[in-house]
Parts: sequence; structure tokens; C-alpha cells
Amino acid sequence: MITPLGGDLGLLLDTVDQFAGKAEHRLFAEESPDGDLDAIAALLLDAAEIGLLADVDEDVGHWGVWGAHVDDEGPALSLAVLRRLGRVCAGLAAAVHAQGLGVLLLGCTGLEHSLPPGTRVGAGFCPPYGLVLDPRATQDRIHLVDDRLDGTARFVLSAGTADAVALAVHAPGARGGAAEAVVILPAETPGLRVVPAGRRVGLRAVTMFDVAADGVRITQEGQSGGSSAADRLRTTVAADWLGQAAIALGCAEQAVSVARTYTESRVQGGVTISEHAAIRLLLSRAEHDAAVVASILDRHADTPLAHLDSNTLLRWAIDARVAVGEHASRAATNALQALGGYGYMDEYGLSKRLRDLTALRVLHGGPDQLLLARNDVGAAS
Amino acid sequence: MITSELRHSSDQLSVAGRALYDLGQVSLWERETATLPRPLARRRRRYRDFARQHLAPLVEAADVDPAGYDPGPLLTQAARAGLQSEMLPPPWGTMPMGSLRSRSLVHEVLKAEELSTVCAGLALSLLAHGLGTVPLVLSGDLGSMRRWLVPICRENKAGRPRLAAFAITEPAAGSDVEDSEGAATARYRTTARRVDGGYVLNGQKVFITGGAHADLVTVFATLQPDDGSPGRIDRDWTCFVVERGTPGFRSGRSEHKLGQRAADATELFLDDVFVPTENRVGAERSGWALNRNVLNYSRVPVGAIALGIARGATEAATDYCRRTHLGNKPLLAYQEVQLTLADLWLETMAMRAMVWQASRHVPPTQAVSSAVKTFCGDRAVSVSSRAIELLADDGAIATNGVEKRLRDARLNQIYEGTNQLNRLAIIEAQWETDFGAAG
Repeated sequence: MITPLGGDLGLLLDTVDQFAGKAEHRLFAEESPDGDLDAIAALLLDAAEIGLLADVDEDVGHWGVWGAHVDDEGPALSLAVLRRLGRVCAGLAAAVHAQGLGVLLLGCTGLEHSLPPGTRVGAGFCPPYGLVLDPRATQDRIHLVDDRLDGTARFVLSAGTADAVALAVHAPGARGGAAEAVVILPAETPGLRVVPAGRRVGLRAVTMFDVAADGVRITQEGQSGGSSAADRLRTTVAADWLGQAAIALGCAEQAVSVARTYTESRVQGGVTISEHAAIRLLLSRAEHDAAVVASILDRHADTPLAHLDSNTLLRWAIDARVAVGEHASRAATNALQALGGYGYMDEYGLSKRLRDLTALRVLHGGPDQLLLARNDVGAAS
Repeated sequence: MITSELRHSSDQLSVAGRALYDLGQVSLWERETATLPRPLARRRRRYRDFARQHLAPLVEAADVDPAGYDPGPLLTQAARAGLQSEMLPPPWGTMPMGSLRSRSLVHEVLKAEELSTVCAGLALSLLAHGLGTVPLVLSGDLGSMRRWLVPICRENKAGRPRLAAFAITEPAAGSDVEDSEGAATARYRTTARRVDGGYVLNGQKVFITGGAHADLVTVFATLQPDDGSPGRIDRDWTCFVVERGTPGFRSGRSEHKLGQRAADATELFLDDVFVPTENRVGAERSGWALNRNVLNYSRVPVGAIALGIARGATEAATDYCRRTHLGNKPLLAYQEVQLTLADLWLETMAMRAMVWQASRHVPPTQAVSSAVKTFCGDRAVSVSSRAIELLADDGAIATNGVEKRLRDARLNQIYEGTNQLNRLAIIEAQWETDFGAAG
């Protein structure tokens, strides 16, 4: 097993910060609302090089975001990396996160595959509307019947162009009786269509697409079913929401930092506006909001995933994601407000952060959908 | 849904009882329109039809590529339709006659809502012209009205766009115009110097809506005091008309912004710009009051822009829930969806009630107009956000029509004074009365 940097967490996070600084320079050297999206592919190669990307080869991507280490070490490292990257570009962070989700969905399912190291995997588990965990959406999901795959998985994320897709599919009659299966398919599989998701409000640095299957034959070796698939799906969904929350937190923190700097230089009424009660309230509320999300994210961050039962994990993830919708978005919007008209212009970068956070507050589920799922998961004992 | 049982039961009511019970299947828009006087109801319908016919086809292009979007054709259509000459009554303009009699702003808020329901950016690109002309009206200066306003209205009415813009904001000063206590130190740098036959203006304005295309701009500048002391905006501000083509006057870059992108926000530069005395709007050093009153008049329609955005988001979300299924039922059939949609509709109705009520305050006052602007701006952001959440992932996709509404709505919390400043403006305006601070 490879332990980059000797497993030294501080050193790894320093490396992440160096990478983030380099990414910021490359993405935002010129004024552009979303940064230089053409630079994303090269940045993701660099991220893989320094071990930030999880990999289908467990040894290669062990310490990457949502790599195999989370089972024994917990998600703290992944969340810390995503939070740091979220400060620079939430879309770039989401791309790193996306690769982790693909690997996580494949992992531990016992699925045999021949994907080479470095394969970019998109994770598909969303029905056309609603949550994969919502039983009302079951009949709408992409489904596997008699080894034949049909239907659509929506809003698949990937780190650049996906080489393969890992799909969580409804599989009535699958082995183990859990009506769940995970399948892995090359993106170029005949009968499989990859459809770009369309122009989005934010997170434009991460690739998003729908996968439509029309009678795609899946061999028995290419599918993993039963309770392990169901468990892995729940873990992946929870990791998705936690990762989004970490990205959003970083994004909001940076927005507040930009606003702090601005308000200390802008003068109104003979003093810098940082002395005005209206601004102090805006920024203090923003910092409080960021602190709320941070504290929720800390709740089980150091607990190995293998030690968390799936209901506890899902409750935690839902709390974090719902909090992001309210608190991180408000932190960013208050930061933008502190800059007045300048906050609304692309030049200061706050408009991009607000757009990214708007995308994150509904990514793979809206708040009411999450709260209904939380109710279904049940209260903590 | 009105059940057959309810219909049957209502049939058992007495004639008077049936007359007092309205079970008609009539949309809320039609119901609210029916409460307006007939000429205004007709006008509301006309504004809505104009927006659907002329704005709707432009929305995507103007939002995606505002620099490549040519506003010329829309401005011509709006002028021909009489939308750009409503600041004067016939025979000069197209203001509804009843509006002059009642001195009401109702037609302005109806227009702002209907246009903004389709696209707040395109709406703003049309409404900014009206704002540019407001100082000419509110100065009470008949000379300015004859010289500028009458020809503007006449040209527009004839379908030849002649546009005005309004310029107060500067690189180092924006919301300061609401800050009476801080006015002495406000960093407004645009100055006017008296010379033979007129004035020389120097300075820079920023974020000027319509500044890229306006034929003339009402510019606020600090007139240098006669005793040589530094000028103050609350004592020396004076309004001038500056026409495009005047030597030394030029437009700079148009900003890239989060929303309302179809309406440009442009820099204006004034380098030794000479304007003759007749270009002064109102008296010297009356600009502080004139500007405040312009904002009193403009903030109610700005509230209506927010209302239109919220309505647009609500209608887009409703449409989505009608055509999208979860399981074998449309989203509309699910209780949690109905709860959210009801909130969107009721918030929009509350905004409209406030806007319509405020439009009957004539002349509009600082407290009422700031309250409308602030409340509606905040609620539009809230409604748009919840609409996005209701659509979940699809809410972030542009073609579903709600994410743009949030981007657009966010500007309503900033322009015409931030909502923080507008809240303080309410207190300031009612200081001696409702807050009893004088006693």
C-alpha cells in the first residue's frame, strides 16, 4: 500500500494548499466568470499525480479523496481536502470529489473489473427526479432486469471526461434480495448514451451528464448485487452529501475572507465600512454560518466509515448538506452584500461563489427531499 | 380542485348565498387584474402581452451573451408600443390620463412587474430610460421639461428610441447617497465648475444602467462652492443633462455581472465636459433633495421588478411541477410540493399587495418606497431560492428558468441603495414621528 508523504497528514494538507495556490493562479489569471475551464484537465492530472484523486486501483488512490483509507481512517482527510479546494474553485473540488464517488461506489462490492489505474469513473445513482433513497422514485430509476439495463441515471459527475460509469441500479430479483446492484461500464458501451446536463448556474469545472441505457446487456461478472451493493450505495450517497458540504464550506469561507479584506479598505462616512454595524453584522453572521457547517462536518469526521452504521452516516450527511443550503449560502450572500455593487460584478469572484453554492444547495437532492429522507432514516437512538 | 360535492352543496345555498360565494375557475392574475380600474386592467394586459411577444424570445441570448446582444430592435418595439413615453400625458406622451388625475404610479408598477416576470434584465434595460428622465420631471423645472422631456417623449412615441440614463454612483461612493450623517465625507469626486455660459464637469460614474446606449444622461455633480471650500454632496450636488457626443464625455466598459445581464452597467467618463447653463436641471445645489426624491419615486417600481422576478420563478416552478413526474404522479400531486408552491404563490401575492398599496402613495415617501424596495428584494431572493430547491438538481439547469431568477433577484438587494441602507432610510424618514425621537 502506498502512503504518500509517509502518511503525514500535515504534509499532505500543505501539498493540497500548494496545489490549490497553483490552481488558483492557472484558473483565474485572467478575469473570467468561471476561470479558465480549459486548465481543468491539466489540473486534474496534477491532482492525480500528487495522490488527491481516488483510483480504481486501491493502492494508487488509497489516500485520495474518498479513497480506501476512509474505511479505516474516517472521512476527515477527504473533507479537509475538499474544504481547501472549495476555497479556490468549488467546481474543481467537485471534480476531485466525483472521482472519489465513482471509486467508492465500486469499492468493496466484489465487482470484478479490468479498469486500468487512472481510469476516470463517474458515479450514477440519481433518478430523473428525487432521491435514490426515496421509495417513490424506485420505478423511475435505471433498472437491471434479466441482465438488461434500461432507463436513465441523471446528474452523473466526473473528473473530466469519464472513461467509465459506475451505476447504482434498481435490480428486482438481484442476488441477495436487496433489489440493488452496481454495474460498471465503459462510457463508450453500445446502447449507452452520455448526455451533457446542459448549462448550469455553477460548478462548471466539474463534468455533469445523464446516462441513458437502452437494453444494454450486463454480464453476471459486470454486476454486483445484494446487500453489499445496497450498503455501498448508501455510503456513496452519504459521502456525496458530506463532500458537497465540505466544498461549500470552503467556498463560503473564502467569500467571507474576500469581503473582510474589501470592507477594511472601503471608506464611507469617514471610516472604513468594516466599522459600520450593518457590515459587522453581515460578516459576523457569515462567520457564524460557516462555523455551524464546520461543527456539523466535524461530528463523525474521525470515525472510520466501517464503524459507522449507515443510518448514523446518512443522518450526519443530511444534516451537513441541509445546513449548507441555509448557512453556507447565507454566508456567501452576506459576504457579497458587504461589497455592495462590486460584489455583484464578476471581478471580485463573489458572484461565482454564490453561483457555485446555489448549485451545491440542490446537487443530488433538494432540502425537503433530504429532510424527508432523514425522517425515513429515523432518529438517533 | 373544486369537488362535485362542494358544487352540489353550493347549489343548495340561497340566491344571495350563491352570489356571495365565488367558485369561478379564474386565475389569480385575472382576479387581481379585475380589481384594477378598467383602463389600468387593459394596460396590464398590454404589458403582459408585450413581454411575452417581444421579451421572451430574447431572454436566453441576452443572458448568455449580453455583449453580443443588440438591444436596438427591442428598444424600437418598446418605443412604438408607447412604453418609453409614459412620463408625460398625451399629446406629448403616453401616460394614462387617469394616472395624471390620481397622480398614481400604478401603471409604472404594472409595467415593471409584467416585463420582469419574463426577464428582469430586459425589463431593466427598458425601465432605466424612465429613471433617467425622472429628475427632469421632479425638478419642477418647466424649462428642462420643454427642452428635454417633451422631445424625448415625442421621439419615442413616434417609434424612434431616444433614451435617458441616470448617473449618481461613483467608484468610491454608492450607498452614501442615503447616508445623511456621512454626506460631508462621502467620496463623490464628480465636480462641476461654473464658467461663462455654463459649467465644466469632471469625474467618473460607474454601474450606470443604460449608460452604453443612452442619448443623454442626468448626471449629478458637486458644484464647487464660491468660497473655494471643498464641495459636499448634501450642499452642492447639482443635476445636469449631458448629451452623448458632447466633447469629453464617453462610455467605458460595461461590467460582467451576476444577473439582470441584459441591462448594461457601464462606466461613464467626464473630462472637461462643457454643458451650457440650460443643461442644468433645476436650481444649483438642489441635487441632494432631487436625488432623494428620484429614489423615492423609483424604488416602488424597483419593488415591482422584484415582484416580477418572484412571479417568474413561481410560474416556472409551477410549470416544472406540472410536467415532471415522481413515480406515476406529477410532482404537483405531492403534499410537500404543494406546501412549497403555496408559499411561493402567497409570498408573491403579499409582495404585490405591498407594491400596489405603495403605488397609491402620491407623492411617494422615503419610508414607504424604501420599505417596498427592501421587502420585495429580500422576498424575491427567498422565493427564487425556494423555487430552485423545489426543482432540486434541475433548479440549477438554466433551461428550467429558475436559476436566472435568483441571479436577477440578488441585484434588487443592492441597487438603489443596499437593503441595509434602505432599512436605515425608513428609520431616518420617520425619526420624528413613528420613532418619537424628537419628543
